[in-house]
Amino acid sequence: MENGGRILTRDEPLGARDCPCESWTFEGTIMPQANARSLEWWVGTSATACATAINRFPAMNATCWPLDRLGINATLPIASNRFAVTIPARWIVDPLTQTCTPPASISAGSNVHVTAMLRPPDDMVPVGTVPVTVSVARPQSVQVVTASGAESSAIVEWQHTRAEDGGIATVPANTAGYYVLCLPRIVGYDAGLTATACAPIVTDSGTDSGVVTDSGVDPDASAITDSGVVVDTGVATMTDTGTSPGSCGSESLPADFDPNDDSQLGLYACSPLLASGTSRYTVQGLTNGASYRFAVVAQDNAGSRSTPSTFTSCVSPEQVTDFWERYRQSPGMTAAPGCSTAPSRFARSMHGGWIAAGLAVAAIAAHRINARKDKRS
Amino acid sequence: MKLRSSIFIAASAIVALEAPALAQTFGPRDGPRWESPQHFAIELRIGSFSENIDGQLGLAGRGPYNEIFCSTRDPNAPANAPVGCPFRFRGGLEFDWQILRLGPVGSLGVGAIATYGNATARAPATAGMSSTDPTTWRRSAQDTSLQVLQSSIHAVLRVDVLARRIRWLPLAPYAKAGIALAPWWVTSGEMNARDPVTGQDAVGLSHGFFLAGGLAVMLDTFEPDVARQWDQVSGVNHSYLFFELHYTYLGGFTRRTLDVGGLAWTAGVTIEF
Repeated sequence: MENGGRILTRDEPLGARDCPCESWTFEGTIMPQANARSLEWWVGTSATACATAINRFPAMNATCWPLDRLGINATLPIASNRFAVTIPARWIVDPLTQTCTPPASISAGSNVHVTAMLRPPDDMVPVGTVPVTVSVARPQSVQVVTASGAESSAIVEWQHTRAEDGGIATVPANTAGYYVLCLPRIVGYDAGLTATACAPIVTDSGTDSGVVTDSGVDPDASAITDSGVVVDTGVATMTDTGTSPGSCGSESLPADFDPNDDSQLGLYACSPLLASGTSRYTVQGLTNGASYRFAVVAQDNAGSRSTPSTFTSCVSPEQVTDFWERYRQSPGMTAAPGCSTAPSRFARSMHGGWIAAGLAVAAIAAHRINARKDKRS
Repeated sequence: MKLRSSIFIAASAIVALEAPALAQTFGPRDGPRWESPQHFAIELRIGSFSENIDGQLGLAGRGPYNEIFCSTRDPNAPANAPVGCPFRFRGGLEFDWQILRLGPVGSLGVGAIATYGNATARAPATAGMSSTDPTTWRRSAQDTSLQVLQSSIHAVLRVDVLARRIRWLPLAPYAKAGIALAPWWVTSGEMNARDPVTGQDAVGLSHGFFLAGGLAVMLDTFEPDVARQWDQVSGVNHSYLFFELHYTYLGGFTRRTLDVGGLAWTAGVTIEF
């Protein structure tokens, strides 16, 4: 028995970067059902997994897990035939522990199915289901990174090839691009990463008395209502651990560094997202004589990011002499060509070029005139 | 310099004086009856990159160009490649308007060339330039390059009487002379280099003259039926392979400009239509 409602499909995959912080909204319609007590949300490994009671948690080897216990049902306008529900991405990926580690039955890159079901008195009736591609597995890390110093900059080069090709052939499929990381970090560099409010979910330990009072540490300073699980809305902050240039080697990434957290990656990224296929980037804005190390993070099409590559050894930007500087240092060079008022060697000899060009043009013109005269005669 | 100027004037004068006489001697067309009208030519050109920067400074072989671009390995060359001046290419296109058909002798027209070439090398680290021998300078990872977009507007005389009339001698010599212009810019890393005195970008426009002489081999001779069909279908009259030597002076007429010209060779394909 089906309700006849439906959920609008979402096409984009749910990546590791989405998992900790993002929330996804699902919209749909529902046919009013008089005896329905609630609309529940479940996540299954297939479109039909939740339709059968024996597949539903807490059954052994369950392939369908409930989201309703997380309290989202309270927001549903089930009296209407239209609804919208916002579900944290981590609940979809990991409905049991919300740690962004999917159950073994949900393999990386596979579809899970968010299913809405009405709960009449006897059994649940599926309203609709929508597939969501879960791609939280981290992409393959960049293997080889080298760096060399240039003027106020460093040139970082890397190799990122499929492990199964023995490091010879192509870039791993679904690679969307790369970020270069700098140590010490470049204070003030904007990698275009917007820090998002993101905090781990706080599970209800069951010891509270029903209401959790705000301890004052949350930015919104509002009370948090206990609905079975307390959601911490505090914004995670990172401490600037950047050190002064010259301390290369004494600094490393924090032990809990998560490249899928924009606010953390934004601290150490010293490049924008570089296109897939890029294997060389010049980090600008460095200090000549200081020492730096670099690493690269790969990002796939689902937005998931790899663990950082091994950092390079220390390199120091240094002053270089380009061709124009060397040219201007040459003996007799007092002004740049083009700015000089000195006559050229040609001009010192004669203005032959202009004269010759004029002769050529005049000859052609004269011939054309003669040809017209001949035609007329 | 006087010799160079004289050659240019003489070549231009010959072209100018001979053209009317030849055109009056022969008719406007000299091709077979089946041949379509011919007014234009296009050349696909590839050749050597040349410059006379060090020579202009009176430092031929030991000036800044040689120090930066000819005293190190090409950045893309293997590590064991010899230190020296790597061969550098220049490529581009030429379009000619064959204004006058000089009877069976050939054609006279005007044309324009646009070619691009560059010299690139790793910039030396300033602290590693203490030696007077540039081959021992320590090079950084940063590239520096001189990029030149060389162009010319010129008269072109093509003598194709041999190729058209003598089947076993499909050769068509030609000569070109005209004005040359060359925008150029110097890069340091991924940006334009800056003048250490003025702080301005190292970009400029050089001008001078252009002289060329070459020999083209008419390909129609080898496959006349194909050439005939090609003409009937697409209007292409003749095709050639050519080799050309050209001298470009870009040191400026009235004031000094960076002489990014020089003696060079070019080869390529010509199509007349």
